[in-house]
Amino acid sequence: MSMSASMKSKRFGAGPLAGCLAALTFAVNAQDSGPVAQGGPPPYDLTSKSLSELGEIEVRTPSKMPQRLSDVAAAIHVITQEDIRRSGATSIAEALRMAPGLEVAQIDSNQWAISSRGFNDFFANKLLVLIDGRSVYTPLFSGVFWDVQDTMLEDIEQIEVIRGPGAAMWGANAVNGVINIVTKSSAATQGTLITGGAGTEELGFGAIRYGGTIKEGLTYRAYVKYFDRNEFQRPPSVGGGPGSDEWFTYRGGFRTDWQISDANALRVQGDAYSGGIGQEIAITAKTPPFLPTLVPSSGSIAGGNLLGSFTHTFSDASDMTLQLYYDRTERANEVFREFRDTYDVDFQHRFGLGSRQELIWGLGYRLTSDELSTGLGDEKVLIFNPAERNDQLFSAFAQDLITLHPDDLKLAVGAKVEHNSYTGAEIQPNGRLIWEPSTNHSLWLAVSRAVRTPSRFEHNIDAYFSQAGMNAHVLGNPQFDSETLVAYELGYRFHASSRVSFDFSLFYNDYEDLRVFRLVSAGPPPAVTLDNDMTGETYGVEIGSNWKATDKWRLFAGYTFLQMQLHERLAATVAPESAELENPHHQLQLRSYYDLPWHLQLDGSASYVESIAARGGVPSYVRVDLRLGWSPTRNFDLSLVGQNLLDDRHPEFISGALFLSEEVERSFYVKATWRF
Amino acid sequence: MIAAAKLRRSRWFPRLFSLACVLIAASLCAAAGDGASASGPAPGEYEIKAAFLFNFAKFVEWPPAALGENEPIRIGILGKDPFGPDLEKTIQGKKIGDHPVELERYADRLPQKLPHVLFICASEKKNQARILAQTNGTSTLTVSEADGFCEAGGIINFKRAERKVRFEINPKAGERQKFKLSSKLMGVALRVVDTVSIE
Repeated sequence: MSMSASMKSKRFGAGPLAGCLAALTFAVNAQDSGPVAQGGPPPYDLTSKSLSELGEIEVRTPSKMPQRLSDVAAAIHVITQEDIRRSGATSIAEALRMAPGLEVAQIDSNQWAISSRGFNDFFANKLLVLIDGRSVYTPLFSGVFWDVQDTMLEDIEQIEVIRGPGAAMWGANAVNGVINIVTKSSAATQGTLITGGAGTEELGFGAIRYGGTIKEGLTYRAYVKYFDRNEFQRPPSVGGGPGSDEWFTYRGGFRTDWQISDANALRVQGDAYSGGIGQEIAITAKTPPFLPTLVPSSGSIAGGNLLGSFTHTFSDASDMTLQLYYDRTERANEVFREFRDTYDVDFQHRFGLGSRQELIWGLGYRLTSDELSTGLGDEKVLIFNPAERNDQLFSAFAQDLITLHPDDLKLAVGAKVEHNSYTGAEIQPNGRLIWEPSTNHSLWLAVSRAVRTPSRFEHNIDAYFSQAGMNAHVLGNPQFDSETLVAYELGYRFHASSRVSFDFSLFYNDYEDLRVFRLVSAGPPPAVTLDNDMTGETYGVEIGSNWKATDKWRLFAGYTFLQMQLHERLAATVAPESAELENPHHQLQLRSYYDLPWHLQLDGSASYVESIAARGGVPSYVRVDLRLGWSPTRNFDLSLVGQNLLDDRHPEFISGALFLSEEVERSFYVKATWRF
Repeated sequence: MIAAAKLRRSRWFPRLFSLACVLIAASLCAAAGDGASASGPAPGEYEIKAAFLFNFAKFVEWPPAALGENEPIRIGILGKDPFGPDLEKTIQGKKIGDHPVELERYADRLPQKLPHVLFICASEKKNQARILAQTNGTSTLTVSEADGFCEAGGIINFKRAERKVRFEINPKAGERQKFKLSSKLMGVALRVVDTVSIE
């Protein structure tokens, strides 16, 4: 049923894609010969304006997206380049620890469980992650393979972490949050940067980036990087000792930014990578007594992407962007192998409607084509039926930003409509209201609906694995439907002074059709399938506060509270999801950035994560990281970083995935960076 | 399941989508075609500063000795030029009264014949006192973008006011020069600096 529907919709696919490509070709051609060529006269004459008129013109902020009201009226936290550098984080996943409201737990040296507002796991499926506009969540299980999400960390401009649904703008899977990783324009990364280091977990890493200018307005950069990380410790329950989770990756990439004329800009960028990850995979025997055995596996990861984005600016209040990308990922281990190609076209147009409204609308098309097979070993314990599948996603959205009262009251209403080959059409509306009675205070309210569409896993899995203490035969359910959320949010921001600010948000999430595992036959082995048989409510509080104690000392404190209540509808649910027990209720963090004399910087963070009860439990822990940096000149800096300083090892998470969760160790590394 | 009420596997969406794509293609072509008539994006900081610099000259009345009939008004840039092509674009083919406008650039030393308007780049802040001593009492209007420029005896200093470009002015420093500065400038300035610094 689902397949025939997806076959049918495929016939319609070529039309829109060709249409969009044609649109791009037309636009580019027309621009080439168009009158707005570089070097021509400015579009309007500023010298004809009076001095007081000149004094009222707002300056264009270079290479920065116009601020989206939907972001301001949302629980957003921005991790800056300075934060990343001074945290000592060596991966994007680790940098995310700085955002309040996120739960970031490392499972082994190369895997993480990251989620916002609950439902955390390796298979966490309610978070949408984008790198420079390219979606990096996998339709395999609607989650993110954090082991391949990387770039030169020095080239990241910022990471925007938006908690709560962003589906009306970003689409399905932006259920509990959206993470936008934005890299710097190549104009801002000119010159050479060489960095390298080593330590106890970081066996060795290094990167070279070069940025240059071809002509005025046309800049580029290219980088290569490599790292090799040591394995963690196996938990005592399986005998302890060093794990098999080593990790290495070679990666290279480029970005060019071309300001073709005042109104037109083109960005082209791409990355390619190849590496290896070690894991201990639990392989469940297909014969009685169906016992799992741990098998060390050397997996391979590889991939690449190419993205082009063309922006035409009509005025300060109006622009449009057409973006195309291609992404390839490959991964293989002992039991599973995946090839995936993704093609994506995205169009956005923003314009003012009268003096009080600003409209943004857009269209998108995505084709993802995969090939899933058994892995490098002989066991056929994890297969997908069918093994190959093409899925199309059509989407359209519109959002209207309305100024209800000049300066202090604004409303954003919008919706995204999508059509996917699993569940058909999905409508995801939202409404956001922001009230700014003064420049120091702002209060916002939001109500949104978001869906988490089914993945390959839920519809097509055919596997033997251990789930909730049972070694079961797990079969996909082609009738599995989207999980839905209606979220109610309230936020308040307060800038007490230029030195102190608070950001406070409250949410209540109402979920329906959540995923459960349901017993279909007693076996042996028992057969289990997936169904939408659970509802749930979650609520929580997130607080972030910045305090610039002195010109040399800056502090950040964050607190997260989360409560989850899930209800299975049928008693026949034999493997109730333990999501309720997988998330800490309380998380607390404190970060400090201190500029010492003699060009030294002393930075540190301490975070408390409450215990987790699921899967045998993870005790609460306090993690302390410290960094000592020395920048004797502007071109050189050296840093010494210590992580997990308080104990020599502890687990952060016990995953429900098929591989062994390891214990994080105390570690140290030194790093040197030259710029010239 | 409760999904029965939902629109499922409909055909209207892909069709509507195709139609919308055609509409986009058309609107893109139209947009690209009338690109010239669009007002363009907001100007950059130095586009605005270039326009200011040009317009300041309109508020100065030079004596015939300093500016003869049909003689060009010379705008000089001293130091590391932040304008890029913006200044050229701004003054290209323009006149103030019957005076054409010319641009001159100096690396680190002022020429014998001083310009009518001198923009002292931020790179020259350390030489500011020496430069002002040299221009003091001449017919040169000094402009800069360095904090404390007016207090140090400079005449006009650009100042960012959030996303806007404004300027501060020292009329006393203006009075010492061999020209007449319009009092209108004081009305528009973000701040009027009263201190006189005598070298």
